[in-house]
This record gives sequence, structure tokens and C-alpha cells, in this order.
Amino acid sequence: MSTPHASAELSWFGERCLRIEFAGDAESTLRRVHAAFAEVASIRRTGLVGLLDATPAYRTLLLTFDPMRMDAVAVERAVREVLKSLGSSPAALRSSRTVAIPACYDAAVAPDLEAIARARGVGIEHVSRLHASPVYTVAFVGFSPGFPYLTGLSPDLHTPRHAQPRTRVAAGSIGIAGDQTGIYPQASPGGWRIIGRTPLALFDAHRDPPTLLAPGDRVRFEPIDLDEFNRLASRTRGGT
Amino acid sequence: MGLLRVIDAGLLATVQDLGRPGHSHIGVPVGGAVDPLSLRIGNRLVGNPDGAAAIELTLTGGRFEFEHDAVVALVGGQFEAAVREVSGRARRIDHGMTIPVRPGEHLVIDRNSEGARTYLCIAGGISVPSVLGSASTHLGAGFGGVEGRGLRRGDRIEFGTPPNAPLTDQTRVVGSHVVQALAPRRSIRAVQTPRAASIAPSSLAAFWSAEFCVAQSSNRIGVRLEGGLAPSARPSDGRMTTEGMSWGTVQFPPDGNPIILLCDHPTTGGYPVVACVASVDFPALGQLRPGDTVRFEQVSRSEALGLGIRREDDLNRHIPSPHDPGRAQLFPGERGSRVRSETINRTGCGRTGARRAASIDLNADLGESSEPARLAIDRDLLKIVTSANIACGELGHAGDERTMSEIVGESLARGVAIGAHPGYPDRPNFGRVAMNLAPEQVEATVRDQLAALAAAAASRGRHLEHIKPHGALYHAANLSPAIAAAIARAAEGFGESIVLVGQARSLALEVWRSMGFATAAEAFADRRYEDDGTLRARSHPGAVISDPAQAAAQAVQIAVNHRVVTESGREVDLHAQTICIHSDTPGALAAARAVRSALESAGVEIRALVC
Repeated sequence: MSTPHASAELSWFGERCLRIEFAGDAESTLRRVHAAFAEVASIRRTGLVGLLDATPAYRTLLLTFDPMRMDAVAVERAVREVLKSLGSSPAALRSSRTVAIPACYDAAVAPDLEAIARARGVGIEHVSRLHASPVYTVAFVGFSPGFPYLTGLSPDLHTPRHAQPRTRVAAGSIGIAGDQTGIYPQASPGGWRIIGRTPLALFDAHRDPPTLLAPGDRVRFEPIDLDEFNRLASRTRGGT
Repeated sequence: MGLLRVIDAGLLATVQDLGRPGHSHIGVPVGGAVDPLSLRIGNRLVGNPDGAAAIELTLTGGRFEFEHDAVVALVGGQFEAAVREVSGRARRIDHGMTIPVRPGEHLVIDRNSEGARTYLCIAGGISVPSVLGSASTHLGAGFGGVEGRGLRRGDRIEFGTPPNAPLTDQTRVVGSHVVQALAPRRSIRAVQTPRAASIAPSSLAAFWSAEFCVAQSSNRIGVRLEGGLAPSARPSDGRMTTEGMSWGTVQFPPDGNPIILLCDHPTTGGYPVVACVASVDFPALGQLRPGDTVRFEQVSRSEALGLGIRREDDLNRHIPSPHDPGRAQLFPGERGSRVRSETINRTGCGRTGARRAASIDLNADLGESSEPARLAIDRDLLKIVTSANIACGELGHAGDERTMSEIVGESLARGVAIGAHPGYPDRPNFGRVAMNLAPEQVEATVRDQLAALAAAAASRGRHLEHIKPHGALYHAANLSPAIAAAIARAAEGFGESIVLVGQARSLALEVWRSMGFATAAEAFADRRYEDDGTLRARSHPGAVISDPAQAAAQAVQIAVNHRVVTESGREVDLHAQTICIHSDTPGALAAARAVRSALESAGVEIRALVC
């Protein structure tokens, strides 16, 4: 049962998707997800015929194939080879940089901020300090173009999602959900609790790379007031 | 080059192609046409590559004025459409055919009566800047297509010059299987996921039997279903750790209303995934309208694969692409690489004229032991294969008078073609060790062995239909033209039409063909291939495919796509007329059954070699 690399489980989701699920503590699991992604990305030209997409998340790497072009047998074998080559403990993601994200913690742009402060019997400033003090790590980018899933949220801020997602969350909204925090790059429906907003564009398809943040990046939120937010936001909008 | 002007874009009209795979790790889904089959058919009709950009119209149609000559096709949901001429006269047009449009004429597409989306394909394709490798519009993030948005009145859109002449109206596709595939489906085929095990059995059963209604809020992101489950049947399993999602993923949230993700899906999500829709039904998902009712029909993963292969074959048969299939747009790095050129090879080596339906022969080496257990397996294999290679008795590597007679008789009863399986005359080593025989000696022993089996066949009024050398002799023929020629010379005198069976892409086949013999190339479902198309040596790991399902998948690849994926993961051409079913491995029968049933579900005709 427990060979050195048995801590990853392969399962097919339909005829197109092969899901690799890693077991272990959160930190080492995420490291292996990214190491597997990097490996898959490097062999994709020869080793995984028909590979369309590879989607990393906390514990899983989902590989999506063109079923008309893939050979499930060869795919599984190649993936097992990849897993074998990872070893049990790949190096941590290299985080060469820390990105400062200006964040406006003002109820005018953060519809859930007051409720979250009230629920804890504290002021809005306390919540913004709790959110702006840690250095977060980008676990992966998912959900919508450029949306970073950040780990490192203070346990004092862990909050469940809204039972009913909002139909529209503004672009740049900074949300919390469970033990994670993240930023909505575009206006979209969303269930996370919105406690702030950044004027930065997290995604621009015409930029290279299109995403502001990459897995492994460190992220700090730098509080700005509403005036500063408006000033920066108008500049961002004008600049694109 | 030409221009068209948008007079009315209806509810939603966007520029779409076959999408931009390879970006899900930055949160960008594949996108493209929600009904990729309709887009591909439309593009083929007007002479475009499958992935050319077109206009996707939603529910209410639209109106377009052409400033230049154009050839267009409309494919997708049912709708009323007409070309309004400059004189004001309207000529009704049908879908699924090529339509010439003159400068100043308007193309008027009315409300869809059935289905949700229609594709306006124009010869030459819509020209918009490519963003992240695709012309398709991503509405959520506002990029691609025309300024990342739906079309608006007044937009002027450029289209290119067609690289190929459009097909004529004779090729209109109405009535073909492909168009039947476009008919609305009320039952969506899907494969249950391993995750379903964590859902209460009563909820799971309710999911598979319920009739759901398509909600108004459905869009390019997903089909939202509602109203199917009683409150008691709702799944209690709540959210899970966020993980990757894909087109066709069916999420089953606690409120019991499933969400089927479409091509603009969020790349990750946190609801339990109960099933994945078979890709053969992606086009049907794209045609669901709010208010439609649907249920899910459970299929296995291999059924899903087989359905997809059959659909693809159907499409290529009825509406051949004027181009290479153009499906190789994967990770950006792959563009222009080997995959593309091999795709071209594949079309290039096709037969001229209409493409034949896939067919293949299945052969097995039989009569190699008189043990009752082995004979029983042989008899069972004769229910599966279409050609028997029968060991030639005392003069050859195995078998005797009785096995020859039994297998010949049983083959006749089953309608299986009778062939000889001559080997080195070395019973102790079962013909598996190369003997240092001169070509004349090989010719002599093979001729004697053929004569022995021919006699067994003649006693029942039959003659030999094919010859397949055994073991070390088979391999010797691949290495030495003299040995190959000796085998062929021995075959002279056993009928003009006798077929020599040898390994695909082998030297032996070349030699036999050059000598004027009918030949058949043999491939193996249960052996791994190397990049040069040779078999991976048995001494190497991974040489033998022991999982029947995997062998079956390889057989389908060979029969349908004429390709195999090699040990290193490359895809190489492999043209074969017959697939060998091993009779001497553990689980031979299970593998044989799996191969046959996979081929059948892929729509492959299984028949003996005919020349």
C-alpha cells in the first residue's frame, strides 16, 4: 500500500481528466503539486500527447486531455514516471519576490468589512490590521483569470463563505473564505466575504505574463485610504 | 478579405474559435465555441480549418450586412434565416449548407426554435487579434474577440480569404449522422467520478434518475439545473478543498441543483464533482435552452471514449475537413511541433475518395497445445477472433494431428479464417529460439508445415487463407530478407490469394510485397511500441501491456486512428489490417474480450482479411 510514492493517487474523472491527489501536510503537498506541474509542463511537448491543460490546486493537479489524441495507458505511465521523479520532498517553490498590494479597507468598497468587525466585537481598523500584517503566499491561481489563492490568513479572521454567493463582486475585491484570502481580478459572482479592495489590475491578457502574481510569490497588503484608492484606480483604468 | 457590419447582435453574439487550452493554471479556461461540433461542421462547409473563428449567436439570432462577397454557413440550433437582397427580396436559407452572400445583402437570423446557439461561419474566418493563442472572446475577463465583449450594432468585422474552395451544396449535411448528433438530447451521457463514493447512495441514485430543468441563469460558464431532487434526496456532503475543474464537470452542491460546467468554467471550484459529461455530449450541452428538461445517463469511461471516437469518425466520413484536423492547439509550446506534422501525415496517407469505415481483423495463434485446458481457451478465443493461425503439428514448433483437426473444425464452425502458423522445427524450445538454418532449409520446413495444415483443412474442403510465421521465425523474417523470401517461396502453391501476415512496418512485409504476395500488417494490442514503430523488446520493462482495458484502448487507437503512443509517449503512425490476440498469456481471454468489445463500441467492423 505505502510505497514511497504511493502518497499520490491517480483517478480518472470522465474520459478526459486525470486527477493526481497528493496526501500529506498542506505545505509539502502543495510543494509536490507544483513540482508535478512544473515537470508535466516541461515534458508536455513529448511525453503527454493530447494534454490540453494542467490545473494545480491545494492537494491536486488536474490534467485535461483531448480524448481523441491521448492514450490513457501512456498517460498514466508518464504521470507515474513524473511522480517517481519528484521524490518525497521536492524543494519549496522559489519565492524570489514579495509583491506589495495596495488595499483599501473602507466600508465603501468592502461590503462585508463592518459585519466581520462587529461579529468579533472589534473595530474596522483592527480587522484591517489583522489582514494587512501577515506575509501571505500564493498557493495557486485559479477560479477566474489571475485569481490568487493566498495562504497565511490569521486564524482570528477565518470566516465561512456567504451561504448565497453575491451575484456581483467588484474587480479588485479582497475576500476571505475559511482560512484563505484572495483577490477577484474581474467583476464576477462570488461567495467570499469582501473586506477590502485593490486598485491594481491582477490580470491583463495583453501583458506577459498576464497575471500579476504567480504561485510561490509572497504578498503583503499595504493599507491605503479611499482617496488614494480612487486616485490609483482611475490611473489603472486610464493606463490600459 | 472582406467586411461585415453588425446590424443587430441579438441577445449575445461573440467571436469564438476552438479556444485556448494551456492556460488553466493562470485561471483562464479553454473557452471557444460552446458547441464545438457545430463550429467545426460550419467551418468545414465553407472550406476553413476546424478552428477558424466564427460568430456564436445565442437564442435570438442576429442581423449582419455584408460589404463584400462572402460564402457563409449556419450550423447549430434550429432557426429561421434568410438573405435579404439589395432589391428587398428575401431568399430563405437552410442551415448546414454553404450560402453565397453578395455585397449589400443582409443575413437575417431569427429566433432559434430549438437549441441555444448557432454559428455563423464565413469562408476565410473572422479576423480578430489572437489573445493567448486564440480569437475566442472571454466575457468575464474582457479579452479576445472584438474588444473582449459581445458584438454590438455598428461593429465592422473583418473576414479573411478562404484557403480552400468551399464545399458545394451537394455536401450539405442534412440527414447525416452528424446532424442527428446535433439534434437536442434530453439525456446527457456522463461518467460517474470516484468522488461520488462520498455522496449518500440515496442522493446519488436520485441524481442519476431525476429529471432536471435548465435554469435561466445558465450561460457559457455553466448549465445550472434545478427542480430535480426532493429535499430529502439532497446531498449532505458539503464543500471540499478547492480543486481543478474542467468542461463537462458536474458539480453537486448541497442544494441538490447540479451545475454542469461549460467551456468558460471557473478553473477551480469547491463543490463535490459527481460526474463528468462524456465529451461526445458537449455539443448537446451547448444547445440546452433555459426550460429544457434533461436527465443524466450513466456510461463507463471506455464507453465515453468509444462514443467520442465514433462521433469523430462519423464527422470525418460525412464532412471531411479540407485541412488537417487542426486539433493540435495545446500548450503554446506545442505549436508547429511534431504533432502537427504527424497529423498531416495521417491525412496524407489516407485513401483517396471517401474514407472507409474502420475495420480490422483479429488473429490468434491456436492449436499450440493438446492440453484440454488450453484447447478450451482456444475454443473460447475462436468466438472472439476472425482469423486463426494454427500451429502445424509434429513438423513445426507445436501441436499435432488432433489439435490441427480440432482447431480447423472449430474455426469452420465459427466462420473464422484458417491460416498456418509455421515455426522453427524446434518443439523443445517451442520455436522461440532462432535456429541457424539456411534459407533453403527454412523454405523446406515451412513448406512441409503448410502442407500438413493444408491437408487438415482439405479434409474439410477448405484451403489455407493466410500464413503467419511463429516466434523466432517471425522475427528472423524481419531481420533477413533471405528468410522472408524463403517463407514466401514456401507459400507458393498454396493458392494465389494466400495472405502473408507480418509485423507492421517490417522488412518482411516489404519483401513479400515486392515478390507480389498479398500481405497484411499486424499490430499488437498488448505490446508497447518504440518510437520507430518496432515492438519494445520483451526484456525491457513495460514491454507487455497486461491490463485488458489498456490493451483494448491501444487496439482502438490502432484500428481507428492508425496510430499508437509509444513507450516514450510519442504518437507514431501504425497502419495494420490485423491485431494479434495472444493466446498464451494469463488472462488472454479477458484481454481478447476487452479488445473486441472496445473495438465494437468504437464502431470498428471486425472481419477477416479479405484481398
